[in-house]
Amino acid sequence: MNIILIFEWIAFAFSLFLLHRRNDRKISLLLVILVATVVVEAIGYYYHRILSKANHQFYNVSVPFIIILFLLIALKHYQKRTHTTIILAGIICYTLFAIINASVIQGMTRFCTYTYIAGALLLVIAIAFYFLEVIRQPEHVSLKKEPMFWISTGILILYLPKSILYAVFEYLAYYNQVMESFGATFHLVNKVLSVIFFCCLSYASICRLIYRN
Amino acid sequence: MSIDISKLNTALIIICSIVLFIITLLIFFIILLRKRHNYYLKEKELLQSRFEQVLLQSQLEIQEQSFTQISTEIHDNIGQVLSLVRLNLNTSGFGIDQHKVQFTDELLGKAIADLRSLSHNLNTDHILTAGFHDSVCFLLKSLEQTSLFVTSFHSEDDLNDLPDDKILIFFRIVQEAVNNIVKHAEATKIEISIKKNVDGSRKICIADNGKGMKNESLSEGLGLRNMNQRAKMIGAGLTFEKNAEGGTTLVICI
Repeated sequence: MNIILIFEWIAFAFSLFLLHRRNDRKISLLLVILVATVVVEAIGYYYHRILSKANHQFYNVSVPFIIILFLLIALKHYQKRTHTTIILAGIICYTLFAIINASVIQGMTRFCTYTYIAGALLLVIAIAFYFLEVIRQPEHVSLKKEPMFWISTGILILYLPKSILYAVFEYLAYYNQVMESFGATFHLVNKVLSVIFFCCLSYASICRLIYRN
Repeated sequence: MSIDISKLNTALIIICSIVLFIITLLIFFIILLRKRHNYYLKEKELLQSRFEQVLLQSQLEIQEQSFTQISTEIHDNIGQVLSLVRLNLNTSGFGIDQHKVQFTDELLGKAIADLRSLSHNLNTDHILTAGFHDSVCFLLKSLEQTSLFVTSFHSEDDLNDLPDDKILIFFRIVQEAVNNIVKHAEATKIEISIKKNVDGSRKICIADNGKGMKNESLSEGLGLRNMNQRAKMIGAGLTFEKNAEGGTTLVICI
């Protein structure tokens, strides 16, 4: 079985059974994100491995959906109105861009890399705002028991290098021979980054439980 | 355009590793910054708390000085004047209604006794010389003399091992609590007890059989605030409980 799927299910189980939804209302959307991820990965796996069909259409819908959910989680953590306004405007623009890209620019027959890159950039901005606020917060904050900090770390680790890979991938897409070989590298990097990402999400679900006293 | 695939793959892995390394550094940097900020906040809170403690100490010292000054004035000035008035009244000639003179003399005697009692209760040195136990007895005795209250005092510990400033603060809290009962509780019975626990901690209970306290009155009033501040200063816990007789029990734990 794919190692990414194992870590994905672990993160999902942690968020389902161990996330304190009463204490961590701000990150309750994490469960929705993981449900969406698990469902789409399962369908994608079934289509690709068993039916030997293309599964891009599912990812083209799920990727912007998950990115928007992550942005909404970040929104809940902001205290500055300016940050909220900027990210809210970003979400609206990003949704429009994702729809236009899927229907007009790149289409649904292939993976919408532009949507992924734009979403990753927006996520990086959102996380930068969160980090700025968390550093300056006038109350005592223990980062080891701050779920959003670990979610942000996971997002940065997964989305930033992967968006660089997609950008290079798009640039070189013209050469089919390069694409095939590049695919192997991409899968290797993706595997490592995804494992770290799901570890961060798992820890985010249980950090309050570990340090509850 | 020809591309060396193996070089490209190596370059991509290196780029990703560098990005990952930068992200890791950034995360460590943020953790470090936040730790420093937490340390700074802790230091600030500590300084604030020390400042409040010093301020409170100064306030209480000024209050004690004022009490002592008032006490001296009552004892040396007003008390003397009233004694002279009493003497003059008793040595005044005939032609004055003797019943009135006797009645006035009794009133003056009572006023002098009350003032002496007040003077003793306010005087810091007197409280420390007499000790906590005797001072509380004296306070309750003066209340009983009014015939409006029945009082009792049970003590398992005389608190003599406590430093003078703590004894004084304890007594002031008890005094304020008794004063509150007299003013607001509409009580007829006041009970004070001191218990010593096995772990060495003490529990002072001041109970009355009055009308009880409303929750909102717990956050109001200068007297209650003073009591809380005093308790905070000596690290004592202060709680109000409703007792079986419908009145209130103030519990001080140290």
